[in-house]
Amino acid sequence: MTPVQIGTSDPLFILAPPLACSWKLCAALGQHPQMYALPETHLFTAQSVAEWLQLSSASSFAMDHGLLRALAELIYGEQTESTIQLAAAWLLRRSHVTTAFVLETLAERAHPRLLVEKSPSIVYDVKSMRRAHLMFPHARFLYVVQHPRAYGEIIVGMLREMSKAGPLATSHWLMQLACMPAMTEKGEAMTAGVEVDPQRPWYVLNRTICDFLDTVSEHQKTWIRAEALRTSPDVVLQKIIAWMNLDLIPERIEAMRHPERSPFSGLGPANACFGTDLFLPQPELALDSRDLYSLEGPLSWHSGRQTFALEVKQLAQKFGYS
Amino acid sequence: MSSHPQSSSQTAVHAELTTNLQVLHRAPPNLLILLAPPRSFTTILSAMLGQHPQMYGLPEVHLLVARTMEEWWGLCSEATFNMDHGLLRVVAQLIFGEQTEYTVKQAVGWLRRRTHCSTAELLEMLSHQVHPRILVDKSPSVVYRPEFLRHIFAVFPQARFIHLLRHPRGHGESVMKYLHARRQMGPVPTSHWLLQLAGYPSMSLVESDVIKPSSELDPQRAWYVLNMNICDFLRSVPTHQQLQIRGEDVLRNPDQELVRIAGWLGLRADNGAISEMKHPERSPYASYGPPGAYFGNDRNFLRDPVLHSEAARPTTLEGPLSWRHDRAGFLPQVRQLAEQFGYA
Repeated sequence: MTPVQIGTSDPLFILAPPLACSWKLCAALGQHPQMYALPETHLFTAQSVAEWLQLSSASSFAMDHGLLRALAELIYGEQTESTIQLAAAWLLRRSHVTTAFVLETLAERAHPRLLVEKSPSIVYDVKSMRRAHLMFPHARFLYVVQHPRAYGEIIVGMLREMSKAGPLATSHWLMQLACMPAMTEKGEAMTAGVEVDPQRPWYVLNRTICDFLDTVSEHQKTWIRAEALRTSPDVVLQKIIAWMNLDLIPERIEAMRHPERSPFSGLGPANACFGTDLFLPQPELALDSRDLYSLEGPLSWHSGRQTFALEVKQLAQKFGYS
Repeated sequence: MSSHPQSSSQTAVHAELTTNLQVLHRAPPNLLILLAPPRSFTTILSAMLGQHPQMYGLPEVHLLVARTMEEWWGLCSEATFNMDHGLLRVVAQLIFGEQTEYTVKQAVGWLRRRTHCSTAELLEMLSHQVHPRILVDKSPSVVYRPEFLRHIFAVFPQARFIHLLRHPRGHGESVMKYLHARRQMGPVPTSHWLLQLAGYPSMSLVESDVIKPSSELDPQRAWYVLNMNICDFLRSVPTHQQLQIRGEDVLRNPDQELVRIAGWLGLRADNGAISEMKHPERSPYASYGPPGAYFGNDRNFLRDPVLHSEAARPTTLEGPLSWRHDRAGFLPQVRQLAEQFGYA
């Protein structure tokens, strides 16, 4: 009797709000020979594949591209229009299974490499993160925080870019994000906002992540600042690898400097082009880098002199921002 | 015939097809199911059989009381005992290689990820994992409902069944003794399985949480109804797939009875195999499990998993019942059924 899963490990989940450029981090980690980066699978937004397929068909973005590309690559060995079709059919035949079972299947295919998963949708609802933890009790969680002003500028910049082709519908995911309602003291969403104010999604999503992480053992979670990843990538990546108890051999760290080598870092086949945040337009930011990292002063996206809400400042200060 | 190089996608399709065909052509699950009311020597016999080199004894996995794993998890969350411990220990052992706190947590995730599976599919996976050994299951909870029994036979038509018997007096005394021990630990809710068993079938779940006086508890009713459930069910099972044995006979004359069981199953009945079966304490489930899955078997067995022949001391169908204040004896139908089973 040979135990069937003795070597497989639970995945590493990167928790970050959308547009935190977490793909570059995910792809960099995936270049370490002991890890394998998945594109955005959005698996834990649903319990079953049937539910996931429904969500995907109703989504305002190409929610299925990441998972289809991952299945094509790991099950059928390459990403072509034909294997994407096969992947879609593979998934449809498994519509009754749990989404976690699909991730387990991908983990088996990637074995002995450990999966790195980053789907921003998971941070919208604490239930999605709890589902991931329940299904993978030994999973680790890497939380990426970003300064609220920098985050807000990215969102409004992205809105400008994406509206160039015409106004975005209120149901578009970016509008939904930018106009996210505030949270009540009980953690419930208030009436949907109509005004663009990216400090609200910054606060709501980060607080949701913090609430979830409060339930996770210390050794299974860590956090980094997105800014540190930009300024000292080697230091941050080595810190993560050490925390994961993986090899810190220089060649392996060197490999992580090439996230572009990931099979998901380029455009996919015509029927599943995307799957990561790499393909979103890169907005030009209105502020220079020094002004991006201050909690004081007016917010550029407000016509008046409005500043950060008190709870936003308090949470940002917990992350070491000033 | 010219050969064409296959693309990697064709290779992958072929690999999937081959795997699926292999699964389809796998031998059907090889199961031996012990049927008996709770407190009928099922734990010790299951552990003994499981030590036979061609068998594998499970602890109490309670899989077949639910149709789906989702339903099973729901039942576990409502159970008055640690219903999930047995299965968690098995998955930790068979899928992750050992029973530790770490692998028990892995087992939780593995099972949660299979919420979509039927419980029979899970049992089939475990059966394949121990193949070619026969998987021995003994979950006394299945004998409460005839539909559970019928479902087992529907999903495993080639399964073999042992109807394990115990004298109604020994059974009743064991239930009352176990209940007494449980009461020492604190109040026993009416929904507790022991009280349900001792008060069966008159005690209703909707009654108050006050424990009835022991004079109202009469485990002979459960003994009768549950054994009748088994007898009724076994009428629909081919005779070569069923065997009736008295637990007391196994404990008193293990060599003779174990040879009989092995012979019926078509397994080795040599001294080596029989000798192994007399060491239930060697089962991986014969001691307390790790944190997160301590139990999974009868607690008395976990404390002292050795074969004790004195547990099967001679007893009689005559005379008053120790648990009844009115000193009444067995009901006529209980006596009649016990006599059919060869008890006096």
